[in-house]
Amino acid sequence: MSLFLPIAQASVSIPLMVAAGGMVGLLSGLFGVGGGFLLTPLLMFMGISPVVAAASGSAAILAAATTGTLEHSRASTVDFKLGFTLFAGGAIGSVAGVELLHWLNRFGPANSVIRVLYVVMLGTIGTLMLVESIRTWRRGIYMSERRFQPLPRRSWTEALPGAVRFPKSEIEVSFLLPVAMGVLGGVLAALMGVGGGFVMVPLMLYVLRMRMHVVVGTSLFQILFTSGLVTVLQAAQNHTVDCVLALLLATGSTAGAVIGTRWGRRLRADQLKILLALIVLGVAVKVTVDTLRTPSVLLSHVAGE
Amino acid sequence: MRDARREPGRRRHPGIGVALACALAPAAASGAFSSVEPTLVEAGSFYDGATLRVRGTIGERSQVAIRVTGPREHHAFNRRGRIAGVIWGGIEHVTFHHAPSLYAVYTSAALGALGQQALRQQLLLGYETLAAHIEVEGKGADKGEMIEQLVRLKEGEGLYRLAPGAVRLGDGPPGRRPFEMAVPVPAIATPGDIEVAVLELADGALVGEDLARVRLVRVGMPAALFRLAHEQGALFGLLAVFLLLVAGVGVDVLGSGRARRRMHPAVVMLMGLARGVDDALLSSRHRPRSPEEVGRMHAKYRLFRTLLALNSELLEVLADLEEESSWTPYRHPRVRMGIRALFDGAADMVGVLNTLTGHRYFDLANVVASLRADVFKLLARESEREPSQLALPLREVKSETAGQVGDKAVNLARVECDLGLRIPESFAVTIEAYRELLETGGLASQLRGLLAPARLDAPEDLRRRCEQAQRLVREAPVPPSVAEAIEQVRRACSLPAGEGLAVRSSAAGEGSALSFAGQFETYLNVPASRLVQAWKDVVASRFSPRAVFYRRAAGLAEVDTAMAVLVQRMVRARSSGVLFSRRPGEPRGSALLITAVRGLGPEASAGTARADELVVSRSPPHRILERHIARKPEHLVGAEAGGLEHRALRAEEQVQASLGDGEVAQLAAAALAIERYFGEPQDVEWAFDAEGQLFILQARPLRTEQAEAPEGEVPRQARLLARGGEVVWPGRAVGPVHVARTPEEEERTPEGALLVVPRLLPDCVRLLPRVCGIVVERGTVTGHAASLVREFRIPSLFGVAGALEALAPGEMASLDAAGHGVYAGALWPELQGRLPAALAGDRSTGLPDLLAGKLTKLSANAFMGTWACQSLHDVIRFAHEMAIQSMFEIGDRLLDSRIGGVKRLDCPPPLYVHVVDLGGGLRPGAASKESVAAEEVVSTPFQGLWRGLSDPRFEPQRSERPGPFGSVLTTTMVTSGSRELGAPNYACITDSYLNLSSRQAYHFTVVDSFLSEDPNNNHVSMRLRGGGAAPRQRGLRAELAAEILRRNHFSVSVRGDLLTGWVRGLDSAAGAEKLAMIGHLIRYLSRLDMWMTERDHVKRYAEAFARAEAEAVAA
Repeated sequence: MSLFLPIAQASVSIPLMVAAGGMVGLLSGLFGVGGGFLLTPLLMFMGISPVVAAASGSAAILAAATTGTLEHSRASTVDFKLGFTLFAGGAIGSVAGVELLHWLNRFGPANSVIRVLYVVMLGTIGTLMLVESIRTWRRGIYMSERRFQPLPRRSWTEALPGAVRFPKSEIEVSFLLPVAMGVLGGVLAALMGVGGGFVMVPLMLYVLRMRMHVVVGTSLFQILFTSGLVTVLQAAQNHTVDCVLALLLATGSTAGAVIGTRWGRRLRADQLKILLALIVLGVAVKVTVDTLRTPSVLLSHVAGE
Repeated sequence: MRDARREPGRRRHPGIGVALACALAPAAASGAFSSVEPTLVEAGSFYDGATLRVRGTIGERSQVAIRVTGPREHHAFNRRGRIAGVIWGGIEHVTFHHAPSLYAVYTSAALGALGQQALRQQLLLGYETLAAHIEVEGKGADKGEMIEQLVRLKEGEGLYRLAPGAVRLGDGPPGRRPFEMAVPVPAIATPGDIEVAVLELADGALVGEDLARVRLVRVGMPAALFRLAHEQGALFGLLAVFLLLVAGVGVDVLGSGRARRRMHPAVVMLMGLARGVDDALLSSRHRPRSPEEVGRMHAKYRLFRTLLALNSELLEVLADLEEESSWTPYRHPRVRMGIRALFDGAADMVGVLNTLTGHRYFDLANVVASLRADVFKLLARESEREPSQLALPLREVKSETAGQVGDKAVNLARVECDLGLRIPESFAVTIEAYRELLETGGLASQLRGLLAPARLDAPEDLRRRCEQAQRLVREAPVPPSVAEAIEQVRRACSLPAGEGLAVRSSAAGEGSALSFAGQFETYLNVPASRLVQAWKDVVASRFSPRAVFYRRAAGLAEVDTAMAVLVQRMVRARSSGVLFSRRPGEPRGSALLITAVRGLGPEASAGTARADELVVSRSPPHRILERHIARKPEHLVGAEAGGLEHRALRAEEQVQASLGDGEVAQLAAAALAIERYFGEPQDVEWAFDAEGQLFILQARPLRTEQAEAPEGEVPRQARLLARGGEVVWPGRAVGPVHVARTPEEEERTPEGALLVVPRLLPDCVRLLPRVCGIVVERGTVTGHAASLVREFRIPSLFGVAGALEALAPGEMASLDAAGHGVYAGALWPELQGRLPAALAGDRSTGLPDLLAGKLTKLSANAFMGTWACQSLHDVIRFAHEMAIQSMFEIGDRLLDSRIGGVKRLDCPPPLYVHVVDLGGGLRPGAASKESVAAEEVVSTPFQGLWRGLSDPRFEPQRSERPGPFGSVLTTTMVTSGSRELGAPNYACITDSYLNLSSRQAYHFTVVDSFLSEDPNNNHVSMRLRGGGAAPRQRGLRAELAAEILRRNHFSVSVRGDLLTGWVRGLDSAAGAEKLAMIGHLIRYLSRLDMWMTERDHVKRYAEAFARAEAEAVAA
C-alpha cells in the first residue's frame, strides 16, 4: 500500500499518510490551528524533504480548513467578516515579513533570534492560557495579597478609533485590531515558516475576547486563505507542492477536521483552552529542545521562502 | 528543487566502449565479466525504489567492488552552528558542487584490502575519495568536516552507502568465482543515469572494469505531474488548491449527509430533483394505508403533550424561582428547592424529547447533568463563605468583604487605599445588618406582601404602599446586636460621640452601571446618639416611591439592592461641591466641570443651590477655561445640635469664588487619578476643610455615553421658540409641549410629551419613562435629576431661560438638544412618539450572575445545537423548539407513506383535506363517518386555520395595482389551478393540536400548532418549501412570505427557499387569529411565485395582503 510521490520523489505508505493527515485535521477542527508544526516534522521523519513537506502540508491543511469551515458555518460559528479582516492583515503581514526577513538576514543569523523570540512568545502565551483556563475551569476564587483585587480593566482595545461591529463574534472593536493581528500572524508566518494559528487563536480569545467556538471557526476560515496562498506561491516559485501527497494527507485531514469539529462542540470552552494551552506549551518545549540540543547532522536542507 | 547538473562519466579504461554499448540494451547490460539488470527503471505511480541485480564472475584470486554513482548535482544546505554559545541555528549557506546524488560501494572484502590509497582514489572507492571531486562553497566551513556532514546526511536518507564485505563470492567453475549482489536504489534517488561500475581487483591492482548505465526515469502520472509542476508552477498550484478545495467540500458533503435538518445545499438540490421525479411517479400510484403509522403518530402526539405539560410546568417553576430569588437570598432553602425541582423537571423533559426524536439529542442529558454539577458546586462553595460582620471600618474593607458594604463604600475605600487620597474617617453598616433588621419580627415578609403587588402604572397605590413600607421600617425595633456593632465600630474608628456624622446610603449596585443618583436620603451632621435611628431612616428611604419605582423600572431584584450604610465624619467644609471628570454633553471634550459652593455642599449635589461653575482643562496644569461665579447669599453649615442651617455670607464673600486656583488644580488632578483608576468618567463629591485639606466624599461613574448622532440638519425655515441652556443628554425629540409648574401638573404629563418645567427634582424619575424630551429653566447639569435624565437617555436641555413663557402648552415642538434649540412644529416626524429606552434590558433575578447564567439566562444562539445551551432555561427552550420541529416530521411521514384518506373533509374544491384524528379532534358522532364536515372538527387550531383557508377572497391579483378581490380573473386562476390543488392535504388533529401538511405540485407546506389554555405551551409555526417556478421566483416568494409573517410578528428564518416562521406564547384566541392569517397566506401564495419576477413585487404584494387582511378582519 505505497504510492510514489512525483515531486517529493519518495514512496510513502498510504494508510500512514492518511493517519498523519487525520491527526492534523483533528487538531484543526478542535482548535482552529493549522497543524503544520506537527505535520512537517512527521513527513520529514518519513523521508520527505522538509521543503516539500511544508508546502504539501499546507495544501493538506487547506482541505481540512475547507471542511472545518463548512462544518463550523453550519453551526454558525464562523465570523466571515472578521475572517476577511484578519486575512487582509495577514496578506500585508506576509509581504512585510518576507521583506523583513531579507533585511534582517543582512545582519547575520536572524532566523535563530526569531526562533528564540518565538519560543518565548509561545511559552508565555501557553502558560498564561493554561493558568487562566485552569482558573476558570476550577472557578476558584483566589485570595490576593493586596486588600483589593485590581478592577476589571476597560481594555485598551476599546480606545482605538474605527470601531466596527462583528455581530457573529458578539464584539465591537476597532477594525485596526484584527488587521494588526493579521499582520502579526502574517509576519510570523513569513519569518518562522509556521502558520499563525498558535498566535491568532489566543489573540482572538484574549484580545478580541471572542467565544472559543467562534474563534476556532473563524481561525479555520482564515487559515483557508493563508494556506491557499502559501500553496500557490510554493508551487509557482519553488515547485515544491506535491499534490499526490497533499491529496493523501487531505483524505485524512478532512475527515479529521469533521471529527475534530464535532468533538469540539462536546467539549467546554475552558477544556478546549486547556488542551490548546498544553499543545502550545508542547510546541514551545519541542522548539526549545531542537534549538538547544546539538544536532546529529550539522547541515539542514534550505527551506523555501 | 535541487539543481541537478550531470557530469560526463569518467572513462579510464578501454573496456568502457563495450559497457556503453551494452547500456543501451533495454533489459540487461552485460559487460566482460558481469551484468546488471534492469537498465531502465521506470518510476510510475506505485514505484517504491528499485533493486539492481549485479552478477558476474571474477578470477579466483580477485576481489570485486561494485560502485553505484548517481548523477552529480549541486546541493545547497544551511550549516548549523552555535549562536551566542547556547542555541543551535543555521549560520550560513553551504553549497556542494559535483557531489553525486547517489553513491554506494559494495565490496567482497574490506576497502583497505582492495588496494592502495591511490588506487582507491582513482576508482572512487570510499567516502574520502569523493572529497577530491566535490567543491564546497561556504565561508566559515571546513571542507573535510562539511563533506563528512554531507555523507552523514545522505546516509540518513539512504542515498550514500558503504558496504565492505557485502558481496559474497560463491563457488563456480574452476578458476572463476561467481558473485551476485542486489543493489537497492531508494525511491528518493534523483532520476537520471546511474552508473554501475563493477571492478575486479587482484593483488592491489585493477584487473577488470565493467561500466553500465541504468536509466531512472519518471513515467506515467508522476512524470506528467512533475513536468506540469516545473513548467507551469502557478497553474499547478492553482490546480492543487482547486483539487483540495473540492476534496474538502466533498468530505463535508459526505460527513453531513446524515444530518437531515441542515443539509448541504448541493444535497438539497439533488434531493429536490429526486423529490420532483418521485412526485411525478406517485401521482399515478397509491400505496396501501398503514394503520401502524397512525398508531405511531398517536404515540408521538402523546409524548408531545407530555413534553408540553413539562414545558409549562418548568417555565412556571422558573418564574417562581426568579420571583422568589428576587426577594429571598439564593442560599435560602426555599430557593434551593426551586432549583432542585427545576433540574429534575428538565431532566424529565430531555428524556421525553429523546424518546420523541429517537435519541437525536442524547447530548442534552449531559448538558443538564453538567449544569447540575456546576450549580450545586457553586451553591456548596457559597455557603462556606466566612460569616459576615454587621459593621465594618472602611480601612478593613477588602475585596472579600466588598460585597457587604455597598459600592459607594468600596469605591471610597479603594480611593483611599489604592490612590492615597484622603477620605473622612468612615465605617459601613453592612448589608448583613440590613438583613438582620429585615429578618427580625418578620419585617421582610411584611414588606414583600406590601410591595409585591405594587404596580408602576398605579402611582397613587404605589405611593401609599411605599409610605406604609417606610413607616414599617422606621418603626421596626433595631436588633440589639446591630446597635451594639455600630456603637463598637464607631468607637474603633475614633469617631468620638461629640463628632457630627454624615450618614449616607451605600446600596449594593449603587454607583455601578445604575447610579440611583439622589434616591436615598442622606443625613448630615448627625450626633452619635441619633446614629442608629439615622441608619434606619436611610434604610427606610430605600422604600421611597421614587426608589421603588426606579428599581422596578430598571428591573432590579430586591435582594440585589440590599442597603449598606456609610457613616462618615462630618468634614467642616470651607467649600465643597461636585466634580464631573467629563463635561456632560461633551463626553469626548478635553474639559472637566466643577460645581462649588461655600460651606457644605448637599444643595450643590442636589442641583438646587446657586453655585460657582468652573470648566477646567483635563490636562495638567489644569487651566481654568471658563469661570462662572454665582452670587451666593448664604451657605450651609452644621448646626450645634445636629442638622444643618443656612448662614448668611458677608457681602464680599457672596461674590467671591469658592475655590482658589491652586485648589482647582489639586482637585482636578485628584479627580483624574480617580477616573484613571476606575477606568471611566467619574462624578466626584469633594470638600476642602478649613485647613485646605481635600477630602473625597464620594466617587461614582458618570454617564456620558454618546447619543446617536442626529440625522440631518435643522431645516432653515424652522421657527426657533427657545434656545440656550446646557446639554444634559444630546439628541432630538418631537412631541406636544406639556408645561408643568406644580407637582399636580407634573402628574398629568401625557405620554410622549415634551416636558417643560421650571426645575427638575430627583423624584421626577416616575415621569421620565413617559416623556420624549425635557426642557428645564433652572438647574445644573451636575445635579441628581440630570443624572437620572442621562440614565434614561432623554434628550434634554437644562437652564433654558424663559422656556416656560416661550413654549405654549399643547403646541407641537421639536427639541434639538445638541443644537441647544427648541423649534415649532414636528421637524422630524419619525421621532414623534419615541419614548426613552428601558433602563436595563433584562429583568434581573437576584441570583448571582454565575448562577443566573447556569439557570435562567437565555443565550441568543441556543438553537444552534445542544452544545450551545448554556443554561437550564436554554435547555428547556431548546427541547420545546426541537419537539415542535420533530412534529413537522409527522407531516413528512404522512405524505411519504401515503396513508389513505382517514376521513375526508367535506369542502368545496379546490380544497381537499384528509383528517387524521389523534384524539378529541372530532365531534363524537363524526367518528364513524367516512367524511366529516368542517363544523364537526372541534380542534381550536384547525378552526382558526380553516377560517382563513376557506376564505375565497384571498387569491392574488395579477393586475398591476391590486384591485378588489373576487374578480373574474381570480376565479379563473383558482379553477385552472384546481388540479394541482387537488392533491390531498393531511391534517392531524386533536382538540388543541393541528399538524397540516400539504403538497400541491411542488409546494410543500406544513402548519403545526398547539393552542391550549396555557399560553406558555402554545405555538403556531409554519414551514414552506419548494414551488414550481424558477429558483429566483421561489426565493422571492419565500421573501414575500417572510415579509408578511414578520409584519404579523412572527419570528422568521429563511434558508434558500425553505422558510420557517413561528410565534409562541400567544393565548388561544390570538393563536387562532394567526392561523386564520396563515390560511389566507397559503391561499394567497399558492400561485404567486409564477408572477413574482421583480424584487419590488415583494413589497407590493405584501401590502396588498395587509390591506386584504385588514378588510377581512373588519368584515
